[in-house]
Amino acid sequence: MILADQDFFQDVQDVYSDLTDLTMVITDNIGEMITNFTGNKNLLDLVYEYKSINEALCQRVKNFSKITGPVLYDALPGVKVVVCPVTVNNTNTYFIFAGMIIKKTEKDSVISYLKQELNAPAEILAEIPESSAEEIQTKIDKLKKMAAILSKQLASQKAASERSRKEASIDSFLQLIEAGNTDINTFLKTFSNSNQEVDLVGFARKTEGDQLVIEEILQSGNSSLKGSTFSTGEGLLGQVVATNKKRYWEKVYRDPRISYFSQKGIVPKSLAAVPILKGGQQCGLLFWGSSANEQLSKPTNTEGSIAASFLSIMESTLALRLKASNNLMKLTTLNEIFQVMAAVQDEKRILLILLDMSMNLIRGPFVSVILRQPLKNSLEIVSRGLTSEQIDSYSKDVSGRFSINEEDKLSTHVTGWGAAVYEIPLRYQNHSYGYLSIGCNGTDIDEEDLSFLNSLSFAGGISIHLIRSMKEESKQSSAAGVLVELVELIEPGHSLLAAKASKLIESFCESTSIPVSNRADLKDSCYLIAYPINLLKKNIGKPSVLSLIEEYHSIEENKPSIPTASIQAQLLHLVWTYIKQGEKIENLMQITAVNRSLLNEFISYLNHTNIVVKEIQLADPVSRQPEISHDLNLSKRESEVMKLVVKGLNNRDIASHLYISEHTVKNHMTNIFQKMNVTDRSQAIAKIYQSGWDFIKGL
Amino acid sequence: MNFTINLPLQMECTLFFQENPYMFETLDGIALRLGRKREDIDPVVKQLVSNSLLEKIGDGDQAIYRYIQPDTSSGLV
Repeated sequence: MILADQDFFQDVQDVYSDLTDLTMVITDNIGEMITNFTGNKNLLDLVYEYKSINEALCQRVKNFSKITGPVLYDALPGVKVVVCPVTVNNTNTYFIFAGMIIKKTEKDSVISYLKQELNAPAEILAEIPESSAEEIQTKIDKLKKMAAILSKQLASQKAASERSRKEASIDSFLQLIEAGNTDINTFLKTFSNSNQEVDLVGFARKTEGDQLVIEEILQSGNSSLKGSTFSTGEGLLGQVVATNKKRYWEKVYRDPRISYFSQKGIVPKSLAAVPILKGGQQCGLLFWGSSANEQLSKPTNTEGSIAASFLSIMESTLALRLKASNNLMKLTTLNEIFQVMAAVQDEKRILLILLDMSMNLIRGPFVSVILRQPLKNSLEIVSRGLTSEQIDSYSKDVSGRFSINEEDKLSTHVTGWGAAVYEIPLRYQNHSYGYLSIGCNGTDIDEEDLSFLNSLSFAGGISIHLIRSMKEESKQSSAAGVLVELVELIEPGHSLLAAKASKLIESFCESTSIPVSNRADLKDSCYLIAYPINLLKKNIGKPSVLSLIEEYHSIEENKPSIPTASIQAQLLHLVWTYIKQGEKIENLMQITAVNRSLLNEFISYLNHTNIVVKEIQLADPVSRQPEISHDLNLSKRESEVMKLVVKGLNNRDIASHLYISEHTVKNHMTNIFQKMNVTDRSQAIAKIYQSGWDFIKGL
Repeated sequence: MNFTINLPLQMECTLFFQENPYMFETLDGIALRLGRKREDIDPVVKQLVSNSLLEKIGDGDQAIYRYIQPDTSSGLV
């Protein structure tokens, strides 16, 4: 019941008592006075012995509890009192008692009765007002207005109270969410504590299939429904899940479906349930009830709905948090898988990674990775969860589709034995290397997992492409290497020039600011231009080398007046022209097929290099001297011995110095004399001095 | 059950067994080799057994785990 604002009630009562000339008091719905009497106290004392007035009012309230408007009754024979209900939501909440009224037509007989029966004093009897029927009706109408005023005040007070409760409820849930508390039990306690009417509150969560399980429940008594399950559509709660609409039940103990609760000793008289949504999808329901009230009040149900909304927000927040965390985990995993794939050089390892990672993620009935082996014109399949017959059947199935699915993307397929399978191509650019096939148990793979698998397959496609490209490149490099070495045997002259050209290209590329890519190809091409292009095409599949050589031949044949070929081809032409035409810079001036800036840089490079060579010659005019030591044809040991002879050491000292015997020194000396065509030590020393000191240093 | 939360560790454990396909190892041994806590590895290894990537031989602390090689087959296109 709403507590009346007693001051307001008293004020209204005082005004209307004066207005109607009636004695008044207001009671609550059990007859307890909530205001003080206003009006003629003497009359009141006349009618009631004051002590028993409370009892009398309680009795009257009891009698008139169901009245829907003002009622006139006789407090004493002929002395009338009006009782008027004050209602809120059609419920009599307070009662106005207003008296005493004596009809004009009955006044004499009433006074006579009061004199005789109650020995009422004459002065009090004189105070009793008399009213005509119209006057009585006017007074009753005024009392109606008074009741209306009080009702309106109570209604607005109730609305304010409900608003305040709602705000408090919202505030307490917000505090929970702000604090990051996602515990369902705490949530239910918050709802239960803020609402005295509710003594049963619980949350049921959807599990696999159409089942729900009571995850948390708060109720009085020892028994608990926690952990109990029910199906969608089953019982009262199941109905809410099935219809996805909130429901309130009054006097629910009469409904046989309440047995789900009553068999556990829980007998609510009223019950309510609201579906809980997570990301727009139903994930469970919140229910509450009262074992005391047959009908739950509107504010309680409103609070319940608010609680359900917050629970939905909490579940959605949790789901989002989990999703973000999962995505981070998946990204971390993908990142690490990519790193491993980038380092792996073995196709089989790539297949195993694709296979096992897919199995870990999807946990489907089977996973297989199918890889095309173009050289063997075969398919390689690694799989888990397939029998050998199924592998045979599936590989035949896939091989039949390979040729027509060159541009394929992720697709679903049904295998020969009726299993659904997702086939994700292992692609790089427009080349398909195979499939990652994921079997599923009739349920679709969710979008996020598919996205993960797509990324995994994409990385797999790139890895396989890289491994195969590297193998191919290595094979082609070795073929080119063999041809380069063969030039030396077949065309030794060309080989010498090619070596010179290759060296020149290398050193020019080091010094020039013009970017020259694929230097290795360029250097190989110096040798390979000796071969007919058709032979190269047959043995070298490397397009960059072939196109370079083709461009070079085209320049050589056509001698274009403006440069149209690539920088590499122009440089090859330039260097070869220089080498073939006797390394004369002036011959380069007639070249038209080379970019002017490249030509200028090359000429500038050559001029600079020649100056450096000349400087070396000036700084080292006797650099030819060491050749004399070759002319003498002394061995390393003989040279060491001779060096010590020149220094003036005798045979014994030389032997000691070189840790050899004196006899060995003599042998070396004999050989030296023969080689130098001298007969003794002094002649040898003289000859050495004739050759110059630098030779001695060179010794 | 949220499987994804263990995915990085599952991946690490799977790669470890792929690199050592002939290894037989106890839970403590796997934890030691991966430098992880036994309690972190335990659910992951169980999951890998459930995914049929690992085989568990024996029970209790002395149970040994090994990598199950996938079926490999090849055929002409």
